[in-house]
Amino acid sequence: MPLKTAIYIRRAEREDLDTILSWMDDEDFIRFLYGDPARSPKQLRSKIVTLLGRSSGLMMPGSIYLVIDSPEGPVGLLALQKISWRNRSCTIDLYMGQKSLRNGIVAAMAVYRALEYCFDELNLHRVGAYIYAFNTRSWRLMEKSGAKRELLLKDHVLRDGKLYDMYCYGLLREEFEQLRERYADFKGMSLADMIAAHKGEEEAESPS
Amino acid sequence: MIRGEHSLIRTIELDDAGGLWQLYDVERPLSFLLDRRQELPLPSRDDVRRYLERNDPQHGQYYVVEDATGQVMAFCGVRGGAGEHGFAELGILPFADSFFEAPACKEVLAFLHQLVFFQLRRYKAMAHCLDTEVGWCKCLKQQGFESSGVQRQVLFTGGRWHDLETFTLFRPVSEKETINAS
Repeated sequence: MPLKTAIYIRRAEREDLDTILSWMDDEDFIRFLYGDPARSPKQLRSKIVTLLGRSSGLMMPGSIYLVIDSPEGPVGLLALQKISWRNRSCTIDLYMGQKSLRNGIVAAMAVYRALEYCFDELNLHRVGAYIYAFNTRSWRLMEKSGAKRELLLKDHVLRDGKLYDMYCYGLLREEFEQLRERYADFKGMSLADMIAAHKGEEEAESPS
Repeated sequence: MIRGEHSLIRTIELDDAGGLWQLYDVERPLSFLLDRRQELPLPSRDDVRRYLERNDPQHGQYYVVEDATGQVMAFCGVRGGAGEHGFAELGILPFADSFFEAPACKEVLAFLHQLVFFQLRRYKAMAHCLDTEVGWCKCLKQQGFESSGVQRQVLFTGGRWHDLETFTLFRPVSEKETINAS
């Protein structure tokens, strides 16, 4: 599933373990992680090892982990979790290990490609995402992808002694199709042209 | 065992597995029975029995609601009471939707309120409601729950998609003060 760039996404493998574990040193990894932030590194390591071990390409798995790879090595991780083959739905989580890429088109394109994988390959009907309100970059990315904010859970998560809201986003297949039509012109474009086109679009959208 | 004017509420026992099992009905999906992937499982009686054996706050606390003759009218329960989060999810599983309009329902809700905010000391109660659970939805609103939004087309059963609404109730300030003072 190559992007038209040197960066692409692929299934996560056990060999990615050391890279993913090294991202755990980043305090953002813990802050944005759902669940108890007090989990020890050993517990987290054990969880990640188990998750990667379960990432089978042959069965109908409950979760799939995709690595965002580049010639310099992995730069991020996409997790498709809670996959329901009956409801044809899953949730998506993105973690960019390389901080310089968090706010850029690489993250956006990786999510777009992961959504393509969800709808075109896994034949899903709905992709959801639970995102903390303080994780502005992530929920803006979901909104750019056409997802609708469906839930606002007030005072839902405790971080640094303070309660924060959480959002739930939902993207249905028909909404993704609309997004695909919007970006149809990007097909076959070089990354430089895509960035230029995207910038032009953003400038047109922003009020002068 | 809690005896009210219209109901008797007691902890669930393994012998109740058969009754609870009857409620896993694709024709009448109940949101409180959805699993973490929001699927409605179709368990065997043994599966339900095994689930009840783990009747603790981590997996959920379930109770039986009987009428004066000992007839089971509903089950109710709370999930998430032992997690690191400050909220818990509550639910009622009646055999007939008319239960939500019966006086016994008010007693059950009062019991769950007490359980979530005082016994488990949660600051927030949550509840989910499928688009077909009209009585449950109305009941939650009457109890002061506010909608946090609707997740669209999350469940496919009975040949169609269902939406799932989430409701929230925060512990009232006066009750917080009571807890602090005690």
